[in-house]
Amino acid sequence: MKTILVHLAHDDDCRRRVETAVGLAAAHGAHLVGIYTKSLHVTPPAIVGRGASALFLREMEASAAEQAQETSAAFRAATERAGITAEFVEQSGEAIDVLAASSCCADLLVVSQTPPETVEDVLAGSRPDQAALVAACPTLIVPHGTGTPETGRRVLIAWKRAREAARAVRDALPILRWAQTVTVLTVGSAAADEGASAKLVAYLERHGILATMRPDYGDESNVGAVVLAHARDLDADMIVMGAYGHSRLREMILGGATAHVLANTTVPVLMSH
Amino acid sequence: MLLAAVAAIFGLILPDVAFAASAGTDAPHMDGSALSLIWGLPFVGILLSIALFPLIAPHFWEHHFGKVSAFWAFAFLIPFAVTFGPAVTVYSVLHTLLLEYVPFIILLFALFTVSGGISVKGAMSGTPVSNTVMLGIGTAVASWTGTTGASMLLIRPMLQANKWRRHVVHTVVFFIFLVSNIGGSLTPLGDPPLFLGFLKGVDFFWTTTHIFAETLVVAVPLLALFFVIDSFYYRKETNTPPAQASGLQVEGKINILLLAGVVGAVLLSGVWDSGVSFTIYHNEIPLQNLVRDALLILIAFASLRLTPKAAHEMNDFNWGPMKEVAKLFAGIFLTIVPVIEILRAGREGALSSVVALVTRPDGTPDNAMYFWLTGVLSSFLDNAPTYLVFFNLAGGDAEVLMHQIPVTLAAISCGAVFMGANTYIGNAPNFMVKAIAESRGVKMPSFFGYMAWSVLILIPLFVLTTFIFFR
Repeated sequence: MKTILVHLAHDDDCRRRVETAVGLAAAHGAHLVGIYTKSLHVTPPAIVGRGASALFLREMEASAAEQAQETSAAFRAATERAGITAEFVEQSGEAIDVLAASSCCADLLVVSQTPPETVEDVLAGSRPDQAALVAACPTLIVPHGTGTPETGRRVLIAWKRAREAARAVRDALPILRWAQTVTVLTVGSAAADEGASAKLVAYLERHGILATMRPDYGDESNVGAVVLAHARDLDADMIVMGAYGHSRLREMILGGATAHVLANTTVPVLMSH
Repeated sequence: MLLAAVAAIFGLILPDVAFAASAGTDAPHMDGSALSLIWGLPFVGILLSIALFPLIAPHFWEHHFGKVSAFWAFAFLIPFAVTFGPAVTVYSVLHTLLLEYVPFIILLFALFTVSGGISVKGAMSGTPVSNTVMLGIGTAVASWTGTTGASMLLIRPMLQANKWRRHVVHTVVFFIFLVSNIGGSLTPLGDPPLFLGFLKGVDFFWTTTHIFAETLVVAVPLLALFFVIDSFYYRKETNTPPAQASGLQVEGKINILLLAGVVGAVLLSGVWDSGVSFTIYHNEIPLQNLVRDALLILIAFASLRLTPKAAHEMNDFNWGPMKEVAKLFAGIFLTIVPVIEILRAGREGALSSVVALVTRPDGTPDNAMYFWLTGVLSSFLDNAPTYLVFFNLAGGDAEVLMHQIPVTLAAISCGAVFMGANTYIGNAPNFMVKAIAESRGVKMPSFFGYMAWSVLILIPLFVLTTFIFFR
């Protein structure tokens, strides 16, 4: 893992996101790229077409410029302290689009979980935590809140025989190699399919990764909640899973388990689509 | 304006289009009482799209609202043309475009450009007195610059002045109440619905004289309450104020003069009866209206030329928001056509139940009902089309409304202007102010948190207004 991207913006979780990314970059000797997304200077969806004001866009632009300065200074300070190479990139556009575009030449993208959804988040309209569906590299979603747990030491893989899960595991190999414990969790019908998880354990072993199987034969009506419960039991500090869903009419439609984990996780989640 | 010019040129060719002072008598006629409610579907569709899409599918709406607007416009136009034939369709479409849509967009364009050229810099001290004075000034200015312009000009100095204080939310909330909404009640320039009323024939100064008392009854207690709340927080303040406030400086002053020009141009078309008018397919367009629109366009371009680059940043002067409004309102103005015809048919029309709802048993209009219905709908839907609906529900004749049932017209105007303050989405500047405050680090209340403020503070004042004025 040699290039890590981190989403920079003027939000409460930015510091936490940067600390997580800096920690990973230091551990893996990776170069860190901070992508600062400036607001697009467009009218928010809630009032598009209802109010014309050039002044509004100018005001938003002015405060965005000030925030870019502050964020850039904080990012540089954090990376210098950790002694890693880093660059600050400023781009205008919708966060998720900019991140998706930048993800082509990166090994990992670090974003934050979007805080519990409120009406105005919807009205304002951006969900960077859905980047996993559109990014070209794996996405690490750092949970919203306080404290900076270490990540990537005790990893839980939420496994089933699917393209997305397989991508996620392959993408996570550098992190798995570095982890202390790796657990392969299978739920319901995936647990019954023992051959598949045994194959994964063997696959990981050939990569020099020792993993234990953890089948859960219980109910699979809410796989997301089951995954989070096991993560708590194991005191996992990272979940690796596929991001299921599709992008339709520019709206992200997430699969049930993916949406549940994204909304409720308290542990960093590495997702690939 | 451009459309009018093109149509006027056509007028010389087409025999049907005559240059005359008297027209409209043989205009293609549509009988509103014969229209079923189905014809209102595209209008309801576009209003609900505006209200719901940003919640359900914000990105889709952001990128495709123009197509949605066009969809509803055609959902009205095509069946209408098929059913009523080309004559009625062309007449109705031209009527709404030439007499309402185009002047509406031209005024917004002039205000957009001129207010975009002014900027207010510096900061006051952020004391309760200076904050209350700022809110008072904003409230007074909003009627002349429009609530959007006033809000955008004053929000930065307001936030700057209070940057050192810990509690700023109440200041922004009262700013939205007063500057972004209630202050816009006194002239047609203050708020889009009132300009539509003006285009429909309401006198320029009618609202200034007829809803002045209502505005005071709401605005004065709000300012007093703000002063009390702000003083309370001020006493609890632990941060120290900055040594010296810089005071306010205005840049792009020429635009203040141009703003006076905008007021003058609109006023002119209201007081000057040239006696000359152009007829385009039975639609009569008075000369003074064309003069007004031409002047407004001239003023807008003068502003672009005369404003120092620092204030206008002409190179990347962003026309996006203006185009967005033009797209969305084209759909609104077209789809509202059959609804207005139905409403004007009154008791004979398909909406007779709604007419009954706002009419007392003795046949007089129920003004409280007009105030609250217009208001509640304006809290969640756009207030411009809402105003038009109730204006026409009350008969739609400006002369009758102004002179025979002035209290009803006042109720509709107050409902549309005041109650836009009830929610973040009630009026466009509300959301802009919220976004700017948040970008400057103010933790604004949630959608429902804001409504708690408006229910606790505004609704009692509106109830009071009802008892005093609209009983």
